[in-house]
Amino acid sequence: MKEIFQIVRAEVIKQHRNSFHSYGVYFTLLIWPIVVFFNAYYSYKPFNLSQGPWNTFASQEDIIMFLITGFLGYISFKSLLQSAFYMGHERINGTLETIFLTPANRIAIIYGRAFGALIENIWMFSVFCVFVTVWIRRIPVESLIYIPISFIVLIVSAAVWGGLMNVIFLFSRDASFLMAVFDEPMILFSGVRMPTFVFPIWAKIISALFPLTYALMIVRPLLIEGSLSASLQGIYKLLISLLLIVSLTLWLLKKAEKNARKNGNFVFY
Amino acid sequence: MLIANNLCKVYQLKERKGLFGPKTLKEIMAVNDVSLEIKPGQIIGLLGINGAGKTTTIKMLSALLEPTSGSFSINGIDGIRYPQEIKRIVNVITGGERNIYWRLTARENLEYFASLYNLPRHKLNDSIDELLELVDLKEAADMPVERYSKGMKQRLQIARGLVNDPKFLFLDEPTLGLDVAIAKELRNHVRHLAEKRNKGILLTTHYITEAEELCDWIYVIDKGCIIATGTPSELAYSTKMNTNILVSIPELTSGVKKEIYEIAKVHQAKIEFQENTTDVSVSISAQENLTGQLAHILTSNGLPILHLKIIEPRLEDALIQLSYGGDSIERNISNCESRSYKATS
Repeated sequence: MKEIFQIVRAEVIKQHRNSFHSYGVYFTLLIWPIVVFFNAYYSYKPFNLSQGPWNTFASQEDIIMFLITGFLGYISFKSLLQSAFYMGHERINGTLETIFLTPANRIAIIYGRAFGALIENIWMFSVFCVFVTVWIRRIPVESLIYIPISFIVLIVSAAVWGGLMNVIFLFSRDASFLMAVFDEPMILFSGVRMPTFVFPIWAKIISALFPLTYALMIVRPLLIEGSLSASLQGIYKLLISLLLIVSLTLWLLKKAEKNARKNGNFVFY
Repeated sequence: MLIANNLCKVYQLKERKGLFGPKTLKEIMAVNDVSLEIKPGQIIGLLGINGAGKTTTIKMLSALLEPTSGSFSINGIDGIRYPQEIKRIVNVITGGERNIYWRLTARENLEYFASLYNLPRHKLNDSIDELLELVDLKEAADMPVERYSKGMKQRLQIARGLVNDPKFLFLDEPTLGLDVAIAKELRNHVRHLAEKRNKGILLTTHYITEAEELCDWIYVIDKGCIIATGTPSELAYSTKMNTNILVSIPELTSGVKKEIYEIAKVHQAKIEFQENTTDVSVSISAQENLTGQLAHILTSNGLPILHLKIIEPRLEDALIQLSYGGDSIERNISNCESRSYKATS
């Protein structure tokens, strides 16, 4: 366990040192999600929100909370897709092969990489979200505990998702098409900008494939309604989803290294 | 001790004609029946032209690649069954500027890679300081690698290759692209690692002088097969290349000429005489070094040697002959055994 912790720690520190070397990086990490969030919010603003799916929300503040939780989740998951995409740089630099030259625990490397990217990418937007949440909701003291719980749910589920993305990019140098496959469909089908219950059946089936859907099913009741019981249904679904993703990640990881030992493809780029 | 027996590596390449054309499977034998041994403290050379199979051999021995057949063990550990154990006791240093993080400092690079070997944290800092000292990067330790010169990056590569204090070190063209002074410095490091730290080293290089200077034993590989083995000097002589002797003497009597012809006949040497205005040049070319016998004839006849030049066979020439062919070597690419031979002194 100590060994795994040391590797995860090394991976997080390396990610930070290798990717975040100026304040400008952090600035863009804050500005970009805020712009995307306001873009979505003001896209709905001209319409009559007392009609359609939005009439389930009591107020404008609820809609803001709906969108901001959706975007926090989306940014978390998307940042890991981007981080996995940068695995290509490791191939080009030869560092990917150098990592696999070591006996380091591969699972620790994969999740350390995901965890490191996640923390770096979302902390500024998270601060913004907390600020907005507290500001518009005037959250009662007894519900404040739901804020860290929501973050834990998002971070764990995003890290598990990131682990899978890392392994897929480890497996193939041609995995960049996943950016197109996962990015826009995730924002649409996971219910980032609109509730999933308005979807037709076929779209609900697709949304069931994304763990972000279940993460938002937990986080939104906690932060919008302050209701733990309403989020319980999502917990089971999320746990099953994450379990399946971890199993798939481990299986692919084993297969990826076996494949690399057979074909020597960690140096192909 | 590292023992490799009959290692083979076949790559399977899938090729498709056009976007929707049928896939064809092509097999490429990168390494064919390679056997070698490395003892602790020894520097072993693996020489060959581009695409000969040197890097693939190193990758198999470092457990990055799985051999298609054959076996190897390091200090009794089966390399095929226990690749992770092998990775703890070996490391690879490659030439060039890749394999390190340019935006990190030397110290940060070493900290990261050392952590992957689970070096205890209390030992980590001391060990990294020692490595930085060894490769003379202590003063630049906290500077981003992107600001380093090529030589500094290569020295950092060496330090990275030593973070796990490997028992065996594989150097894949470590002086590639370095200037002569830095390359010399690196060779000194390599010699130090073998002699003082008792590391078994496998070196691949295209610089023959480097192999001559460092290697205790050399394997010559071509098209995946080991085609010759021996010490550098054994290999140089083994390809039946001649030693040329050029000697200048003041005059040449018929008696001396006759004696020289006699030894040339015995040793099947080529001989040439050239009379100049002030002296006579004698040139003898034979597989054996006839300097002693020639000097004996001249001195016993009271002829002073004005000038003597001995051109011995060079490893470089031997390798060119081995790799690109020559009359004296039987070449049979499809069968390694029929073309391989062992050099004897």
